[in-house]
Amino acid sequence: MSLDVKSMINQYMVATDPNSSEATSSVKTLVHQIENKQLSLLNFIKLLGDYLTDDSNTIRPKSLSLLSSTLDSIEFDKLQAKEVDVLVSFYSSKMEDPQCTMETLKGINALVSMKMFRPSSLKVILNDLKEKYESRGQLASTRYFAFLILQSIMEAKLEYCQTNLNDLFVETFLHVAKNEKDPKNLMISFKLNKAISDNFNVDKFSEDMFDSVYCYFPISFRAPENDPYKITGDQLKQALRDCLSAKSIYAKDSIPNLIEKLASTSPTVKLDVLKSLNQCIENYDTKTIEEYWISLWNSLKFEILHKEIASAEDLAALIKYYEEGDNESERVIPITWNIFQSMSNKYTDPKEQEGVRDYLILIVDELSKYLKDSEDTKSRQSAVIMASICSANVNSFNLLIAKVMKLLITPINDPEQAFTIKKQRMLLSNISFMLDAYYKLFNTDGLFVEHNNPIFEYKDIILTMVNQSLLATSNVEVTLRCLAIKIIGKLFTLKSFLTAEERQLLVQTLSEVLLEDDNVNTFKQALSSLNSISKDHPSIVLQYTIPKLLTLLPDNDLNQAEDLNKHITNEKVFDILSSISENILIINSLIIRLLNKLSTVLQSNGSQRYARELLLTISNILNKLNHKESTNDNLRKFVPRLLSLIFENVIFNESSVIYEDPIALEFTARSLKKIITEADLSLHQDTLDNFYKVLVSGETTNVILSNALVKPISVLKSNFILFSLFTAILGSVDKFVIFPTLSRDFVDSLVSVLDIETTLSERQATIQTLSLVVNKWFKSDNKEDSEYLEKMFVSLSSQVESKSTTLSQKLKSLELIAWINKSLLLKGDPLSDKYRSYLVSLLDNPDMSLLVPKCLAIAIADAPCFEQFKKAGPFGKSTTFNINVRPLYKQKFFDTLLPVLTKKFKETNGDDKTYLTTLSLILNHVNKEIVIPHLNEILPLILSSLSVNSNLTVSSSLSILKIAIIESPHLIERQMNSLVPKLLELLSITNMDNEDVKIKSLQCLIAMSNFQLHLVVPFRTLIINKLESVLDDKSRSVRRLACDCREVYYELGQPKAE
Amino acid sequence: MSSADPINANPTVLDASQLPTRHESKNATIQSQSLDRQEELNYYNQLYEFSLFNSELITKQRSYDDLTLPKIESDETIASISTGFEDITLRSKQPSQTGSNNNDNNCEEQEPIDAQEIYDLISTISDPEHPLTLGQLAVVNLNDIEVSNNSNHSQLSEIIIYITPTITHCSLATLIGLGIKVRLERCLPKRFRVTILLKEGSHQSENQVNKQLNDKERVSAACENEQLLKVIGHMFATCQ
Repeated sequence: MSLDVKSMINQYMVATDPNSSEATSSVKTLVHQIENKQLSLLNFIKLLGDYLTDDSNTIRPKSLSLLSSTLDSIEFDKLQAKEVDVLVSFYSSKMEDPQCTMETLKGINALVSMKMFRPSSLKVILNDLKEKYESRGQLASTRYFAFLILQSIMEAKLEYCQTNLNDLFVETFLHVAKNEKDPKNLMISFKLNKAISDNFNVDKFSEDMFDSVYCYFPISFRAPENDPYKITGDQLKQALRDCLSAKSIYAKDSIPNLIEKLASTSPTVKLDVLKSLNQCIENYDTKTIEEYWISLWNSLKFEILHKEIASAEDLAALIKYYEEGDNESERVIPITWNIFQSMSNKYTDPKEQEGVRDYLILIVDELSKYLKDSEDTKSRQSAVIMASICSANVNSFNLLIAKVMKLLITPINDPEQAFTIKKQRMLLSNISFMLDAYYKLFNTDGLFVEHNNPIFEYKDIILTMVNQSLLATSNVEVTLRCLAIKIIGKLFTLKSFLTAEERQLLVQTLSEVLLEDDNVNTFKQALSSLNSISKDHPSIVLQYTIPKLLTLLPDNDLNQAEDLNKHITNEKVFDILSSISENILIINSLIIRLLNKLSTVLQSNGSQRYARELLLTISNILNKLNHKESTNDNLRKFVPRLLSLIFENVIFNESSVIYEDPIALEFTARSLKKIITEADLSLHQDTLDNFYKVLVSGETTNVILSNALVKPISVLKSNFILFSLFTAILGSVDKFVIFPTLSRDFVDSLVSVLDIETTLSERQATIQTLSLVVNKWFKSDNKEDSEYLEKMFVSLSSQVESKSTTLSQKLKSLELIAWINKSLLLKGDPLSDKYRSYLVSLLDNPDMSLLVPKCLAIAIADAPCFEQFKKAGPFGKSTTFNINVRPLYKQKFFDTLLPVLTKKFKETNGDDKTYLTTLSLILNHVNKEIVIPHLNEILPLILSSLSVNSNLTVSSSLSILKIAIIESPHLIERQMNSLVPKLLELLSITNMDNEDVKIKSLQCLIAMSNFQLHLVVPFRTLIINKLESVLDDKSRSVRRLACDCREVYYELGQPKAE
Repeated sequence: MSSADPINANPTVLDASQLPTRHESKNATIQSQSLDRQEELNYYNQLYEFSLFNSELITKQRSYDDLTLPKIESDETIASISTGFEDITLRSKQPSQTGSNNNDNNCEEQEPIDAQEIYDLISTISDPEHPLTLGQLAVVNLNDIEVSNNSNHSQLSEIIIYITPTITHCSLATLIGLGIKVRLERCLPKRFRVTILLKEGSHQSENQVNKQLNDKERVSAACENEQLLKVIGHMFATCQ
């Protein structure tokens, strides 16, 4: 057995690298044998014996290394106390062997973690480290073990050290940590330092402990590229800060020293100093901070007072601005605010801490001269400082806010100086900061607002000022007025700040501004404030703003045109109404009121446009309902009134301004769509049945009508115009409701309607109705349905091809094929292949080739009747409930069509433009993601289509080209030689109205400038020169883009500015 | 650079939203595009997009005699809607008739180069000293730009720009002027002659700078200087 051990030892001894597999495997075997008592430690050492005392400077350390590695790997509880003792004294003796320091330290580290290690040995070890170990001259990895020993001791025997070896431990640490430079060792050194500060009594050593870390300040370490330790400068900085801030007794050294360093001109150092100061202030106790308060304040205040503060009215916005600032000198500002907050945070106990209280008041006193005069250059800075201090904790807020507010409002009552607009503006912006402090404490931190909060004393003054700014100053003072409006918005957000009456007052003021002030910015600001107010306080807006707005709408607008003094147009009123409809209460009340208005307008013969506008506004307002709100009530109450009014005027009353008006119906249809899709699905069956009864079966009284109809209606016989409403309803109901009649019969009737001469809008609505019925109520697995569609296909296609049918008849059939194809394609019906292939085959038919591209485009164009509405389905997935649609139908269509088109295009040698036209029309309707995988195939077509004499084709090709340039530049790079001149040629065409083409060409050129330099440089001069004529283009946006493009090429290859 | 010059360190800065834009310069009050008109147009456009019964296509292209067209509303808007489809096939054959009335109007409506356009070009240049634009620093102002745009493009047109340095001894006034000059040279057609002058009384050595800026030889010599061009390039980085 001993032979075995011997060979293991030898195997280790001959290995050149202690980390090699042979070496580690021998260590492993030895550890195993010792742990299993197959080998006693004594025997092991005996066998090692000679090596351990060998004279050679390589053999001795190596054998020791084997011993240490073995010890390191042995389970911590396998060694006897006696064995540990012997080993400790053995290693202690080895401490004097300078060649073996590393192995010795490693061994000791292994021993101190042993279970049977006796604390009494610690003294020896610490003394050895302190007396015999000399860090100078040792490798960084060796020094690391010295730190590791201390760390292991702290982990294992902390209590013993605290009671018995306090001083020795600290001294040893100070000795070990001396002169350390390696970042990894520094990290552990800093950690130890902090742990010692936390756990040991360092009163005696405070200066040494402080010096041992502060000598590294400020750290300018930047990790090298291939840093194995992954230690960043920021980690080191933070560790150092942790040490400095660990104990209040360091304050006497740290604060004066840090303040001194504040004078540094380097912003990085300054930032580091401020962060360290902040952490110290946070961690040191209040008494200590009190001691240094004055010197801290005096040295920090200028960091803010001497800086220009960015123009924002919001403390949070300011902080964000500065923290995201590009240069470090800007980031100094928010961290200084943090320090003031930390100082203010020390004021935790108003009863006890009179010192802090006095100091806080001292700050106000010192800043009072600035706060008093809002025009002073340091006024804004002082207000921000006070806002930070007040926002830190409620004690400071209660102590200071009244004093600050009193100072701030001094100018209002100053008899000697005029209260100018500028003063007013500055004052308001300062007050705004104070409100932020309130927001922070009571909204963000959620503190309870006492009824006697000191700021309430100044509430009246704030409100008066805001009101005055809005009601008593000229509209020209845009900045002041916008600021006042913003403050109103802010006041509304403050928790428990405004009373109900005050809210009403402010909303009234805002409404007035909205209607009186014609400045764009003021108006926008007022609207946005009112918009956010209406979310939380709809009743006030309903009570004050909306009636005011509605009175501005005349019953009859015909005389309005002459009324030039009226600066607020109906359109503007509608705009405002839509924009403040942010709450279901407002929405529901508004649509009813607008409907009443519409009824009055129609009776008093207002203009057609006015009536349409009202209908559009109703639909826009309804669209602001969010998906959580139910429209069931609207379906019951609003829809019948709307429908009766519409039917009366569109169908029966020939003198009405919207008699047979497709636009009015379109807007009505939108409202219906929204109401139905947002109502419960359980109501859909009844809804559809009722509409069918009224529109098709001729019922004159129904729950969806508030008044009985004078005559029955029938969309299939005469009132074709109502198909636009019917389509909207069919398109929005749940696809699982049952169609009131046999769907095939209904389609038959629709086809006969399509044979009647109708207007274009009627025809479109009819054909879309048909398409919807096929999509929703024809079942792919129903044999009769399929046969019906097959038969229809045969008859339609024969009509298209027959020589005897009129062109009009052919067009009708073709259009029908296109729409049936669309509805089948959407739901992935197997029949759709047949329809599609037929359409594709028609591309070769010279009679039809002009029309077929459009038919194919219709297939994937997003038609409003097929708009998808979703509801949360099973498993929490939202699913489309209103139509049958396959998720990837566009992609499938495109993927099957593309090869056919490219093939045919190649067969005709690119002479036949039909395929190009088809491709460009289709590309308009598919997403980028679908196109990208096919770029390689499409590109040849795209490039040749740039020469086609059609803006539409070229424009669509350019869109794809731009995608290609960005997504797969390698495809384009080869084509640069022909492409660049082609684009420039497109840009040089002057006579045509092709602004769109020009803009897209320029965008392509700009996108190409990102290619590798050697590819674009050859074209640089050409592009710059050729673009010169474009600089004189008729269109301003083309000129602008040409400037940008030239600029890009002028600066080609220059490093991009940050 | 700025820290050496404490007086210039804190110039008055205008917020970006305060700068004049085309929208305001037209003296429009609240502009609201006529939403209902737009929606109406969209509606008709969609009708044409989804229908094969596109009257223009059929009548102009093939003049089928036997075609009974669907009844088209008398409303003018329909007639004037461009579907964008017809030009695929028609442009080559009947260029004179293509393009709807609507678009023809747009064609004739020129958008001449005016002071606001010049302002937009140069106000976005950054100041070499501050991280702010010339517009924000009010070095260039809309009212200080004079444009005489000759409607005949074969004749010369003239632009005079008065710039206001942030302080009267601004050493970089020439650089700013040069930047503006280069920017306009790159962005305007050749028919424009650009003169850049310092606003009266805004600079200590006004005449000297004016002379330097409008001396062709000196400007083109400056443009030969790689280093200078690089600085100017940096000033333009904010222009897009």
